[in-house]
Amino acid sequence: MFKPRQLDRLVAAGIITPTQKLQILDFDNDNGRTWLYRALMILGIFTLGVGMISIVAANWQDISDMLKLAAMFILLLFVAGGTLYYLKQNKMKIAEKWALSEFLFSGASIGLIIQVFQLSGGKIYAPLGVWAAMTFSLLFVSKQKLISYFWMPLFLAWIVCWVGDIWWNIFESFDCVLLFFIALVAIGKMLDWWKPNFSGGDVLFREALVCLYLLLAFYIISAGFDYYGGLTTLFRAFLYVGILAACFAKFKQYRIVRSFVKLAGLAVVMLYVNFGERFGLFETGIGLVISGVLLIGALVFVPKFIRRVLKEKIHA
Amino acid sequence: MLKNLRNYVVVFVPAVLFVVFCGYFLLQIALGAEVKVRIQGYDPRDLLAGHYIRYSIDWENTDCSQFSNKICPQKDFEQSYKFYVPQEMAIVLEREIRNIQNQAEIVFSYQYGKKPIALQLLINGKSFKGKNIRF
Repeated sequence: MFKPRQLDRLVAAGIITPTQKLQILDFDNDNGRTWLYRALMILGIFTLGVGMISIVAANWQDISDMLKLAAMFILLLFVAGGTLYYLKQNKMKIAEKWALSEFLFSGASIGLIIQVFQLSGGKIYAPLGVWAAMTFSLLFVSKQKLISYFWMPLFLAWIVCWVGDIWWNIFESFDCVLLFFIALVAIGKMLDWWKPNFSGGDVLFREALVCLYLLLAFYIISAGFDYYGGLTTLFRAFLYVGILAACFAKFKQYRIVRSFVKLAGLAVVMLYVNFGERFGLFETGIGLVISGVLLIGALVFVPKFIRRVLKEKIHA
Repeated sequence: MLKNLRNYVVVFVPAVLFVVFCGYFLLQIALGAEVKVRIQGYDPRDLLAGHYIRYSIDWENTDCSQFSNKICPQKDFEQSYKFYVPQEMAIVLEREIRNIQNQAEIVFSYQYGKKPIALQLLINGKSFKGKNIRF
């Protein structure tokens, strides 16, 4: 999607002509339905469907539990049949949309089982694991990424809750959590190399990387305010950010390196906050001088590093 | 041929697993013995949230003689449960459960060492919503 204002700047800079600008806007109008629009539309239809099922399941007392389960089974068979039909027709995009319906109705079917068999009191995240296991095969329906975009967050949400619950104190351990997500990122990348046609690998890599990035940011901010080990965690976060940035730079993934450089910048700011609190840098004249030098140092160092990375990216 | 078979397997796994799960729980219910356990509202302020009741088990007033060795197997049960109810019965049920004169129980299908499955809610011995009897 291109914004007209961005295109105006490109026209003013002489990079594109006004005609090209109009052509680009026309192209955007033709393809105006973004991924987000489609995803929200699917979600809306699904919510409507599940809501209707829930109303029927919860209130229609004349329907026996067995009949409710049978109706859900028929619905699952129907969407599976639809997926298979379009797979046989080799219409992959439509097949994948049917598979997505199957994925969503599988989630609804777990809700129905919970309601009919009065299953509760167990782990709140268990249905997520069952849903992920039940729909794992759908990842192999096609080479498109649509199902993976829904399945992977489900899987990651379940695995984080499960790991956190089994070894609850793992979340007290900075290194364990980070190594766990680094392993997931690595598994995703290896899957992508090993089976390039399997979209799950690339999606796992990207989504585990986002989780890793958010976790690092969380730890850096917390450690800045002296939680989770304070300065020790902050220095280890620096170390991890450095190692990860170096690894991705080695593989010429400069966009990811830039993200980690931003995290390093955040760590510098939080180090400044931590020192400020610890040594009362904001309370005395000398303290303010030291904190000012630290801040200027950070402001000079970080952009230099970013520029260096950008240069490497351009020359790559 | 092989690709066709693969497609069949890939698409029908969720439906097959749905049947497997249902079969598993039906079998668990069939194999378990019915036990009645006294319950109390988990939190009176949140007695009815949505279409379920949150409750905890009142072991002090439960008849433990129905279990083997006459010991209540507390470790096999969770601290709290939900019981799903139809929307239109919610107000009636809320009134019945809030009445401290009433005796509320849940009938579980229970096998030693396994997680019990709730079958029906009894208020003064009458089934509110069971597999067999209606309130």
